Amino acid sequence: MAPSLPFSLSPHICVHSSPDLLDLLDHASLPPLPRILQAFVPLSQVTTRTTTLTSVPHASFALRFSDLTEVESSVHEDEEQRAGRTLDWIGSRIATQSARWVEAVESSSTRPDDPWRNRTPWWDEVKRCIQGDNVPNRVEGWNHPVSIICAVSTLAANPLQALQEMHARPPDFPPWVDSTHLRYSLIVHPSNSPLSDSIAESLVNAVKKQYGLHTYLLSISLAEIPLQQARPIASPVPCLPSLTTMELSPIPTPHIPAGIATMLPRPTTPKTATLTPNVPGTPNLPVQPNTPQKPPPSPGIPRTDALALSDNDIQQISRFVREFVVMSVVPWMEKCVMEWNESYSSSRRLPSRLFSSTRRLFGTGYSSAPSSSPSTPPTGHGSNPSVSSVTSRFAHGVNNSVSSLASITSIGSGSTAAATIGTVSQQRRLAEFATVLGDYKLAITVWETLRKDSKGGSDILPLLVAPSPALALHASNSINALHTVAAELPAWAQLRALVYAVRWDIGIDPRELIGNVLEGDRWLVQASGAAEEPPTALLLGHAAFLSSKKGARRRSALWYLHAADRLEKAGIKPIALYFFRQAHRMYKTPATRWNELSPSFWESEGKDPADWRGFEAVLPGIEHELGRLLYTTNDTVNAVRYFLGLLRGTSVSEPTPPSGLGLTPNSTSMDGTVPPTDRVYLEDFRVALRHFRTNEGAQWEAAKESLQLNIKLCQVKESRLRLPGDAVIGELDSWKRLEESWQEFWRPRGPERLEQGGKAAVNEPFWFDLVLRNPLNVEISMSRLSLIVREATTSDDEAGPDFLEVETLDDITLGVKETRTIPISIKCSKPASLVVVDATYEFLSLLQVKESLAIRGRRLHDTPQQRQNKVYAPDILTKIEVEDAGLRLQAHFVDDRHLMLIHGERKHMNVTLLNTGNRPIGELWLLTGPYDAVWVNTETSCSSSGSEDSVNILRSTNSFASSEPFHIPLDEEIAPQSSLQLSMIMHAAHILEHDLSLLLVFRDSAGQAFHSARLTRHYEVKQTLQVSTSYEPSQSATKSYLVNIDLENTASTGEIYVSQIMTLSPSWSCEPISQYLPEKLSPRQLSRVMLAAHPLSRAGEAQEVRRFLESQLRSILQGTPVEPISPPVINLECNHIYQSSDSFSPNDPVTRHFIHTGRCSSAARAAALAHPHIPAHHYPHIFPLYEPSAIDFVFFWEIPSQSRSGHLLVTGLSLGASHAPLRELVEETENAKAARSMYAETQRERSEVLEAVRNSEWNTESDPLVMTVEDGLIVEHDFKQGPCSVPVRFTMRNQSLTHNVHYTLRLLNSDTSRSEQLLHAPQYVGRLTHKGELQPSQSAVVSAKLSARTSGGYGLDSWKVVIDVLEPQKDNSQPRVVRQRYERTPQAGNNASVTIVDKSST
Amino acid sequence: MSHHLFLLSPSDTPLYELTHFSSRPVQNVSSPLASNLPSWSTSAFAGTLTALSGASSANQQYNPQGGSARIGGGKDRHVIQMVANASLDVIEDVMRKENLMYLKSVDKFNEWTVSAFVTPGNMKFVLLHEARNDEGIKSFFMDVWELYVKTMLNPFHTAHTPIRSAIFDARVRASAKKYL
Repeated sequence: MAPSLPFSLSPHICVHSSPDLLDLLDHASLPPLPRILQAFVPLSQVTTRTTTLTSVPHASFALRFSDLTEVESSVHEDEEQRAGRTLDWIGSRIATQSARWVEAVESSSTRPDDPWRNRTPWWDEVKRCIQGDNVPNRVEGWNHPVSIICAVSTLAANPLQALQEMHARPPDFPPWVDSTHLRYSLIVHPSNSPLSDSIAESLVNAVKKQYGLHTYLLSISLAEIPLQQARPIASPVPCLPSLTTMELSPIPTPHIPAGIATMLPRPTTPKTATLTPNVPGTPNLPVQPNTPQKPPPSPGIPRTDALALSDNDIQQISRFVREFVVMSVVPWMEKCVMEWNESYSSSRRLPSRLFSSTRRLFGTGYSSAPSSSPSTPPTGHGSNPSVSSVTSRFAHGVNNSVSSLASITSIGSGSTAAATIGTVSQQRRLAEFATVLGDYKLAITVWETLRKDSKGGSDILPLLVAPSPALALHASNSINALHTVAAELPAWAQLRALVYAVRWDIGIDPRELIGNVLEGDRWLVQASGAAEEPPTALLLGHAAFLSSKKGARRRSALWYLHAADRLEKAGIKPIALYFFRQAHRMYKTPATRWNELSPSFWESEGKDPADWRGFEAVLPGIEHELGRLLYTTNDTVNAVRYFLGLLRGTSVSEPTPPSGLGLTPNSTSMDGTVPPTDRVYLEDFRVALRHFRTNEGAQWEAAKESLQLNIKLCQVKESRLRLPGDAVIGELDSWKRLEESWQEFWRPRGPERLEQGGKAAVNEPFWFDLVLRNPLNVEISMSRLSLIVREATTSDDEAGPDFLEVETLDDITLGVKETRTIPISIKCSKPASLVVVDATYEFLSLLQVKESLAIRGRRLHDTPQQRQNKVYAPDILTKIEVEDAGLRLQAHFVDDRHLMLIHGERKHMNVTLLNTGNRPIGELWLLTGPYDAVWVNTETSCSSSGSEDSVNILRSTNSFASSEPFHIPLDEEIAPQSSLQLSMIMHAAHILEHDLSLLLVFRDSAGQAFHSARLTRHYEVKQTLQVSTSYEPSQSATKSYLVNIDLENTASTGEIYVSQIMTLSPSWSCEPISQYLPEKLSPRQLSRVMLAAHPLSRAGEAQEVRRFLESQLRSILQGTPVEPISPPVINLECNHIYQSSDSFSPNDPVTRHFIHTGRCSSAARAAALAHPHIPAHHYPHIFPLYEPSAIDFVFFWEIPSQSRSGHLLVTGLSLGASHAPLRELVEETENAKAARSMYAETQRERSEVLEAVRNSEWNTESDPLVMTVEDGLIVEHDFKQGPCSVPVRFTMRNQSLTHNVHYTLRLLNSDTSRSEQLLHAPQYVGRLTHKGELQPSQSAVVSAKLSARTSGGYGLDSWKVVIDVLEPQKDNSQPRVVRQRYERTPQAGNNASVTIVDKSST
Repeated sequence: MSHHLFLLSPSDTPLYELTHFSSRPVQNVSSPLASNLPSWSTSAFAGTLTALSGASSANQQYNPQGGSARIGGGKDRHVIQMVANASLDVIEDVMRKENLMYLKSVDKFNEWTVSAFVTPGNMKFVLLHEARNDEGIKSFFMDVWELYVKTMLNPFHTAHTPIRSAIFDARVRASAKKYL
């Protein structure tokens, strides 16, 4: 099928009308002749012939008629200037109608029969404007006239003369315009002509004789017909208005930059209707009155778009046009094609090798070849006398008119590209004629030849050739040919590119154009290049339109964005806005290809495809531009909406960091600057909103409800309610634990429950601590911050009750990313149940914002429905009960300063309790944390200090069950509004920072429910006195162990007086060795105290304790329930090492309490560390507080300069040997046939419990025997009397408190002496093996004899001892059982020796 | 000469992005069209875009010998992102036609050439670059793929999780320095 060529590629016919004809038409209210003729084309059923004489039927054969004088005047204009003017003219035409178009397109976009589904009005307008160009140019021959019609009327005084003058006058064209054209004579013979028909006939014959057969006599009646019967004709194709004579200057105007061009005064812009003549079914836009494109000859007579012609006249003209085409133009063109084809094919017949070598040798262009052919005169390619006798006769040689010189100007001088494309060659005309005539086979061949010679053709080939990927190359070639000029693209190149694009868009089937093979949208983008004129921007917009039709929405978005950018710069805002919106829409609508993703892709992570955000900078970028553009076009409300949408901010949990993902590994972008987008957005928003509020009051009122801030400033989860006296610092958990421990304590005592705390009182202010966080990268301000509080029973929309007073705060500024807590006070004047619903504030003091303070409920998992979908429990709102101030107690410390304590300090504190309720308080209890060392001074507590035990014995419960609440006896009830002072002592048992949390539980009388009040104090403890302890077995026979205590004053200032050292142990007593005892420790001073420890004979108690532990542990290890019994009571031996005059007694209740609490704390911590798998509540029933061999030290100290005093408890030392008392239990458990659990975790846990028991402090094992050798003995002996016999004493001590030990000492006689010590090897004589058994803590001395033959030192290190720990023997008849066996030889460092001095030598 | 790398999840959400300024000399540009085209935007509007992205400072700072300094032109962050986004249309087409992971240069937008790499898990690596360097880009993509696979070994990392690992970032940068 033959392609339908664009209208602009049809033959161009110039009509030269005589003045009398113009007058005739004018009087008949008819448009000029070219317009009349134009109304009769395209012709149907025209048949042409190819060079091979094949007929080609044309369903529609188009022609373009134009006025010769207009073309002549336009053709002399500088081409660059004209191109620039054309672009500006198109831009201005579009600008004037853009708003209306956009409105029409947007209003019909939702209709099913949207007329703009496949096209856009602005692009149609561009196409019409480009198509309407009929001025010849140098580059191509389409606009070069094919024929010139000389038209006269018989009204002329002498029609023959007039015709002769017209024929004699050569057309005023520049020399590059191809002069090959057909001269045609038309004689219009109106009915009112003075000449009769016969004379007219003879006139025609005369003309035919003179000017050839191309003559026609057009007889028309020009009868007056009513306007209603006039045949409407399509409005004319818009045409660039010509420059006035003033503007038409021989000096080329300088190239005007694109941006400025729009501001210059323009030629008259015709407000023509936008209907395309060739497109049927054009939507009926309101047609504006047509203004003339050139000044009408007689302004009084209106031009019409109708032909007021009778039917007969119309038939006459129609017949003429058909005859003109069929009889004259087409045959003439066919003849031209035939002849030119001859010369073309003859030149092609020559070997191309010759041509190429000729070109190489002489460097001549190929274009010279056809022009130099003998059949063609050099002046004009087609001036063949046989074709047109007139042309040869009047062939103009050199046209020396000024205007034609002007036309050479900028292109000739400046653009080499145009010069290479050059003048229109005969070959090109051949190709064009063949294309017009439908001889595509020939046309394609010639175009290809031209293309290969870089003479154009690439732009036309895509219209003629079947779609193939090669066409894209043709297109890009044709564009590239225009782009060879560097730097700024000249206007003519932009226009050419636009022309090409328009031709492709019209001439190629749309489905093929946007298909995958051609990808025509890219051609258009290429053609638009980087030019920023409105037409090229619309070209880009059309490319985007085509891409979106094709389904490439993302590419479409990019091109829409670019097109919108350019249009915005050109000032065509309505279309720019429309394009921005399209870009936004194209980007935002998810691609349909996502459907190819599995639904699980989203479900697996619980993501909603609707939450897709994509590239994070794209949408804000488009929306910001949209907002700014809307603001400048006075659409403030929508601008404000867009700006509001831009304030998104970033939360910590958001997956996308604020400024790019990879760019911000450390929250700063690569170049160190965070893009200040938020600042720009916020400032624009502020300006727009202020303008909106102040200038558009009515709209503001209507819109303010719908303006919602996207960001949330309130951090609901962190905000909380605070009551007066409420502990802010304390952890919620610790209060809950205290309340639980109270309930635990009170349960056996009575049914009264503890009323829930945390209720506000009437007329007492409480606070909502609102946490605000600024998510933006810019400082924001707000005013009128307040809360919406309502009663729980009322519905949402009711206003806040009048009995509530909620504070309103002004002038709050939040810095960049700042988080701040702002307390807002609430006061209620009657008991109520309140709900804090919303926070309200005015953002930037402009926009009223309401933020909900509800927290989403937990996710529900109860039913399958809930599990499969996301179902949440109802939102959680902060609730507060306001009750009558019945029983209320406020407690606070008298001294409320920051508490800085020294490790071990006892701090006296006073607490004031104030009954703020209206009922008296009759019973008061105080609860502390489990191991908080607090003592309340009350009369009963002090009086209970009386002790029946002696001063050296401290009786301990041996259980670290947490202490019971203090009952504070009240002499009389605390009446309302009266207060009570409570004195208490706190012991700073642990260093670093802590919170002291005290729960006061009270009620008015027995039988009533309890209420509670909270009291907390933060304190800090630093270390000043550092104590470390160590021990070693004593060498002396009288002492078991030596204990070293190092005391160090780590403070840099201040002296510490150590007033007393107390040791506490169930099995050991201590006494000082040295006489010197440090009293005063200066700063940085270290002092050492040495104590000797002796075992006590309290094996029975220790056994009892161990048995208890073993039985309880057995329950744990065997998985049977643990009996809730307490360990047996134990007596502790107290030794006061150093006693000043005012010493502390261990039975002083305060001291005893603190020692007990301290020991409990450390024991509990050790147990938790060693046995993590045993539940903590079992500890008091399993582990006794004191391990029988443990020894604790208490150091009492004072710092008089700071009037501080206290004591330090040091635990963790155990003396004596132990023999793995739990070994049997562990073995028994290991060997027991325990039911294996199916869970590996349980099994592993069991083995870990067992391992913990094996390694616990209760199961230590050590060698009980301590053996010392008498060292350093010096004996004088006269060796002349024989060898010396020296007695050597080995002292054996059994350090075990429980078991007997059997030892076997072997003395070894070896000959080798230990060279490194330079000592002789000892030679023992007499008994070499000594055996013996030692009771617990018993010692024995083994004597041996060493025989020495020479003087010198003798090492006492050649022995070996075997130690057997014996099980206690119940029955003498049974053999002794060895529990453990140890073998020992002297240690490496042991260098005990005996020195024998030879008396004889002295 | 700069490069822009995007790692896109199957839902086309960027999980990682990197701007790399190469210090290598610009090779001869293949098409005269690209070299002759001025940059996208040069007038008042570009000012906003530049302010938006802070790109001009980066451009000046990291492109000392880059010849024509295109202030704001073509370097605007959202334009770059739009280009990467627009190239996805072609990448998806090419993916259907070719059974390769490295798709070479799939698209061209003004001065930007877009190269792409598609992992078997449908992750798309998109690189915007100016000069042709097929082999180098291929090696770079292979490196990034390996690093990505190592990142994905983290059981807490899903196809939706943005990659914030500093180690990943450092290694990608090192690879970019090596190959680009």
